Order: sequence, then C-alpha cells, then structure tokens
Amino acid sequence: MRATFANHLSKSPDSRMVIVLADIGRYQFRDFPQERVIDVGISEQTAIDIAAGLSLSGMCPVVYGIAPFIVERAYEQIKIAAYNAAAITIVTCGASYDYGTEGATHHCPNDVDILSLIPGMRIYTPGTGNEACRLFDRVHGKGMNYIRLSDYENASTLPVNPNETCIIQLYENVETTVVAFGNTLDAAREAIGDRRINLVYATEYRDSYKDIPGSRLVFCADFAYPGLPHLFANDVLPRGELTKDLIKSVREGIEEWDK
Amino acid sequence: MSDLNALRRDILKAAYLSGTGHVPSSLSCLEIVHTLYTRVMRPDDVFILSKGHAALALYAVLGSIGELPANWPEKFCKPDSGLLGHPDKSRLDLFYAGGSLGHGIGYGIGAAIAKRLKGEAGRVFVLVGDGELQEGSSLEALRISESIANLYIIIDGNGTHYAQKGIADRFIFCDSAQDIETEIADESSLIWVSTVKGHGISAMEKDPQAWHHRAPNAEQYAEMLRELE
Repeated sequence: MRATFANHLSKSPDSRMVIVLADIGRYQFRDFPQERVIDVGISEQTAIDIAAGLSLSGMCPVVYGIAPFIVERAYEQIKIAAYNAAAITIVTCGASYDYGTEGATHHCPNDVDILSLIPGMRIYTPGTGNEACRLFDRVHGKGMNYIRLSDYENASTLPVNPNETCIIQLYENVETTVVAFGNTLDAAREAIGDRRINLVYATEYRDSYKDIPGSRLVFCADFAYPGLPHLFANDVLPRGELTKDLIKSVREGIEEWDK
Repeated sequence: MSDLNALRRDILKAAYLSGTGHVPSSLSCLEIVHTLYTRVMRPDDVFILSKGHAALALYAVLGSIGELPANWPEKFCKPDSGLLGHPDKSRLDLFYAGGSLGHGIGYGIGAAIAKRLKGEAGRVFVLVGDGELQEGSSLEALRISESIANLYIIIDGNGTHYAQKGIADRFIFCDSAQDIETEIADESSLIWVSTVKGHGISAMEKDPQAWHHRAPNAEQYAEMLRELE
C-alpha cells in the first residue's frame, strides 16, 4: 500500500503539494520533487505545525509518518491545525496492529476513534493502495484528512469515494448488515460465508451510518470503536491470529442479532 | 511612551471591564508588538503571536492602527465580539490562532518555507514567550529553524521562566524592544528582548505571578490609571 501510494504522489503535477516527513519515508518518496520534501526528523509534533503553516500560506501539505507517533503524540497539534482551518492530509503507516510483534508502543488501534473527536476531521481507512490513491485525489487540499495505510490489503480494489459506502451484497427482508472497514473486507466475507447477510464496505469512518441498509449492524474493523474494550497487548500479535479473532467476533455479532 | 501608555490604558480597561485577561504577559511584550507593527513589518510579512495569552497586547496594537474599532476594550471577552482571551481567527484577520504554547515557531517555519517555494516576498515574525521555550515542541522547531531563511523568532524575555542556558546562548540579546528594528535590519533571526512582566504598572511589576491571570477591581484600576497619566 505504501509503495503504491508514494508512487502515485510522485507523479502528481500539483506544484503546491509538499510532503512533510517525520524521519521515515525518504526512500518511498525519492521520486517526488525533492525541493518539496521536508524531513523534520524525529519531531512529529513540529511536522504537523509546519504543515499547518504551509497550508495557511497556500501550499497543500501531506504529513507522512508512523500512526501512533503522529496521531497520539501530535494529537494536540492536529486539533490546533483543524482549529486554524488548515488543510492537511495526514497519511500514516503501521495501522492498528500492523506492528503486532513490536509491542504496545507501536500499536495504534485507537487512531480512528480519537481523531473522530476533532471537529471537521475526515478519516479514511482504504483497503488497498489504489483505493488510498483514489481517496487521496478526491480529498487532498480540502480540510483535515487522515488516510490510514496498512501493510495488509484486500484482494481487490473497489471504486470507493468519500462519504460513500459500497454495497457488496444486499438481500430483501434481511436486516443484519456487516459493515467491513478497509482491509477487513476479505475477513468479513469469510465470516459471512454463504449466509444471507448484507455486506457493506466502508472506507470512511463517520459518526452516523443511517444510509447503510439494515437495522442490525455488525462492525468489522481492525481498529477500536466505541464499545470495544481497550487493552494493552502484552504479547506478540501474529496477523493470522488477529484475523481469526476478527472473523470469530463478526460471527458472534451476527449470532447475537439472530437470538 | 505616551502612545504606549494609551495602549496600556486600553489593556487595563479591557481587563477591568471583562474581569479577565493576562495583563502582565501582555504588558511585557506590548512594545515588541507595537514596534513590529508600526516600524518593522511590511504588507507581505506574516506575524504569529505564539504566546496567545498576550492577546490584549495584540488587540491594543491592532486598535491603535485602526484594524480594530477604538472601543475594542469594551468588547473584550464579551459574546459575539470575536475578541477572545486567546486570539481566534474566525472574526479577525490573523494568520494564526493560538493559545496552547509551543506551536508558533513550527507555524512560522511552514509559512517561511511556503514563501520560498512560491517565490513570494515577505518575512515571517514569531513572538514567543521565554516560558514557551520549555515546551518540547519549541525545541524541535528551534532546531529545524536554523536552516530557514526569512524567519525571525523574537523572545519576550520577561524572565518568568528561564530557558536552559544553551538555548538562550543562540539569541542576540536586546535591552529594549526598540532595538529589534536594528537587529532585524541586520538580519539577526533569533532575538531575545529583555522585558518586564507587567511593565508600566508597579503592582504587577512587583508581583507578576499574582497578577498573571487576574483583572483589577475598581480601586486598583483607578490607581493603575493614575500611574499611566
């Protein structure tokens, strides 16, 4: 996802685009015009402040860094940039438990939830690199955006758009709908199997899902959302195990509605 | 000085009528803001008040140059005025809305880089409190600012908080706000101005911390006005 996204940006003709890096990504963005790459070093807070200053001066900054160090360390900077009406696209790698072997300092399951508390923040969880590029092209330069890249992709790319969901399957008179976010679509398909359950694919996290069909929603996401327990992981989290847990919890969610 | 006393009276009036405001921190940097707006800055320049709690100093100067109505002190911290205790941008023509400390230098770097990339004229001035240099984000930004042209960082050194010696050593020191005009003309980009918290009001100069976020009562207000006559 990261390479696809970086290559896409490197081909952009937009001379106002500036990439602000917090010590990672120099290699990925090696083909981007280097006079518009600003690597601030291990200074995530200042990466956001500088991007805000660039935006308020007419440039279109992208901040790229590792999810927990950008979102959780520089949370106040993101809030103040939003308050100052800056337009920044924040792009992170290391989604949720992508660094599952590295310990809780490197996990970031709460990014989506806490960013959703900032007024005006738009939050995208694309499921493939091409979806990330498509969403970026539609939102960049317009307000505060967060695009979460992951090391894990869905098998296929869908024609995703901001403020829209994709209906994967919809049955008449079926009220249970699984809402799969980003890179969990394949796991959601597996959880549903051949059951007559609606499946909707979402790449934007929103306050309300009133437009989604069905009254019995089951969320399928690899990030924390309100209602889930928040725990530090004190052990290695292998990707395969996480996916199995997710499939199990989606099936339990479906069965809960069936009771 | 008489000009500045009129501005000090405005600041006191605003605090007295609203019952709030950071008066001593505004008085310490009033002369710096005034010098920048009246003798240094040109239309292409950008000003960032990083120490947003000195909003009263900014409002007083904007009032004196006609960018705020003369009766602004009556509106300070009143509903629908747009004149908040820390500057808000929604109804004022400001580059930066601040209040939380330690952000202004980063915004200044971004603004200065943008001017370079766009080939635009103009300089960027950031007014920072000495206490703000204790913020980690200020230190991050100060390190990065070393390589940035057309960025002037001016410290309101009112001595309430002492920055580590190694940081202060990088600055050119000025005894008076009026000297910054010369230093900026010489392209000194890190300027530390020795100031007095509560400058001009003896009660506040004597006990600046007690007055940090406090408005005078009627009696105190009258006494302070007499001092400024």
